Parts: sequence; C-alpha cells; structure tokens
Amino acid sequence: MPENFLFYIVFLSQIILISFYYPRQILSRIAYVLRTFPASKYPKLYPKQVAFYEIGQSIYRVVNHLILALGFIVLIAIASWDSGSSGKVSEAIPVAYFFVQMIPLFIMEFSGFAYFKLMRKADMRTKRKADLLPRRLFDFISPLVFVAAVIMFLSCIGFFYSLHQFKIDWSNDTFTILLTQLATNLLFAGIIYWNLYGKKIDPYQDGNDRLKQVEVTIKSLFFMSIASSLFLMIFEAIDEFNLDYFEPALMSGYFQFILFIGLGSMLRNQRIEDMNFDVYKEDAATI
Amino acid sequence: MDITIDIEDSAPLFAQLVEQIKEAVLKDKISPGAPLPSIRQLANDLRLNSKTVAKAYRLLERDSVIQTRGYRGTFIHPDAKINCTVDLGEWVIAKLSDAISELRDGGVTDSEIRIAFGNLMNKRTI
Repeated sequence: MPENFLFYIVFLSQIILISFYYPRQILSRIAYVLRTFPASKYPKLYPKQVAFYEIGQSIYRVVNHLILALGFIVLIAIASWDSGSSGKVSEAIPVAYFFVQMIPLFIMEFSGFAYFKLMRKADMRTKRKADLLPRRLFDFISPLVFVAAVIMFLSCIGFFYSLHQFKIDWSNDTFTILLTQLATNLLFAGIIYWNLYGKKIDPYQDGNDRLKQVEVTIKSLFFMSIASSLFLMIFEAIDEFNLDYFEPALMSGYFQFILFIGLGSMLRNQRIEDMNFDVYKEDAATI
Repeated sequence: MDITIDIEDSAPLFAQLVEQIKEAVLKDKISPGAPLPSIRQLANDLRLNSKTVAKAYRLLERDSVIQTRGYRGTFIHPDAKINCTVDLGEWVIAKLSDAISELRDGGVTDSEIRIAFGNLMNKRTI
C-alpha cells in the first residue's frame, strides 16, 4: 500500500540509527579510550585484563550487525507482503524490533554496573573526598522545564479523560494511561534522585565529570517525560481521527526520538575528550 | 570546597567532619549562609553511614556553626565564624576543675568524686 511508504522510511531510519549509527559511535568511544588511555598508564581504568574489554567490544559489534541484518530482512519481508495486500503494517513490528535493538544496550548497561563494581572492589584508598556543595534539582534543570513536564503530564491525563466523556473506569484507556504515565514518571524521579543523592558508582570519577553526567541524565529524563506525554496524546488523536496508517511510523519515530534525547544526548554532551582521565593514573592523588 | 576524611585516622569520622567544616568556615572557604549538602548526599559521597554525618551535623548545629531551615536544607550559621572559636571542651574542663576544687576543699576524696561522677553519668538524669 502506498500509505505504508512513510513507515518504510521511518523504519529504515530506526534500523540505521539504533543498530548502526549509535553502536558505531559507542564503539569509536571505546576504541578511543583503549587507544588513548592504555592500561600501562591508567591501570585504575581496567579492573580486568584489556583483552576482556576487547572481546566485549567485538561481541557488541557482532550482535549489532546481526540485529541490523535482521532489520533489513524484516523491512524486505514487510515490503513483499505489502505489495500483495491492502492492510496496514502492524505497529507491533517497530515495537518488537525496538526491544530486540535494545538488547545490546541493556547488556552494555549491566556490564557497566559490573565493571564499576570491580573498580570499587579494587579501590584500596583510605582517604575519601566529597564536595561540600549541595546538588539540587534546579541546579541542573530550569524550573520552566520542570513545569512543562508537569503540565504535559496533566494535559495527557486530561486529554484521555476528555476523550472518554470525563469518565474513569477500569475498561477505558484513561486509567491505563494514568497508571503507565505515573509509573514511568516515578521511575524517572527515582533515577533522578539516585543521580543527585545516590552513591558514586565510579569511585575515581572527577567531580566536574560527575556533575556533567548528572546534568545530562536529568535533562534527558525530563525531555523524555515531556516526549512520552506528547506521544501518547498524538497517538490517541490519530486513533480517534481514524488515521491508523500513521501509527507504525509514529511508533518507530517515537522510539528514535527517545533514543536521540537519551543516548544521543549523552554521546553529544559527555564528550570523552572533555573528561578527566588523570584520576585513573597509578600515581593519581590518593583521593 | 572539598572535604576529605581518612578512614584509618585515629580521630573518629564524625570528628573529622566537624573539624573540617569548622576549618573551612574559619579560613573563609565557606561563607555564612552558604548551603551544605544533605546528610544523605554527603554520606553517600564519602561512603559513610548516614548516622555518622547526622552526628557531625548535630554537633555543628549545637555549636551554632550550622543551622537547619526545615525542608530548605542546612546552611552555615550567620555567626559561624565566631562560634567556631568557642571550644566547648575547654569550657567543660574549666567547669569541672572548679567543681573538683570545691569538692576537694570540702574534704571529698578523689575516689569518691570519681564514683559520684561515674554514677551521675551512668544515670544520665541530669
């Protein structure tokens, strides 16, 4: 169907952005670190043998290539099916594929936790340092963005509420959306709290690098919250006005946007070149 | 302004915190009215128990070096610099010396003073 053409373009972008572009950026960062900060000069950066990280890097590359190939196969399969059909593409396809695409990222995230745990275990320093400045939410985000996120959340609930004749019961979407949005925003709030007041996962991390990381994380989560409220309203409006053909493309676009303001923002704003790696040197200060 | 603690130092951890915050105030590294991190933040940053930091903050508040303004957080007291110079330890020694002298003048023996002092401290009724 020609109406599905928009979906092909957006889905192709999803395949390339999440399984090719971002993995390539991540791998180039890892390669830069391994090349510029070798274990001989920066031993604290490597709680395990360098070969271990090189193997991890190779596995990450191979898995992403496989997922990239799978994406192209899925796209070709949909196009073949589409030429002899009159139905719309199911929005479950970009959703299911997105979850497959997220597997290497989740593995990398969990490996990161294990990596920092080893770092903390190897840390034998007896002196500990902390900044005597409080970290507060509005030091990292403008109150306007905070208010915008709250307004978008309330608007989203209000929008669903109005579409369902101002009734909330178990059978309609309003209740599900209310719970989902509440759970999502509570999760974001928990992550923000943990970033502001939680334990430092990298024991050697420079204070300024940490502040930068907290800022990028908080901003990303606020923009994600705004985006999720906006997306749900657009999605429901499309449903309401019988524009179902846009749903798969919109779903795919939403996932890309979320990754763009999450992972993309981290890659853009936390440049490796700006980080202080001297803290990982053998002769770095004891604190 | 950074704060550093040494977990192998003979001085208790809360005392190291108290001393360093007082030192920072005296050396103008931190000014009156400046906000301080929350107990949880400081405890997590220094990988200490929250109770240790809470104890340090309690002692600093008692000495009017810091003040807690409800949900707004903890701040350096406006008179912190003057209050930092007040040594409660010296004041305790001076007071006890006077009391001991008076008791000795009244014929009370040292062992009787020790027992009475111990009993009173154990009772914690005053």
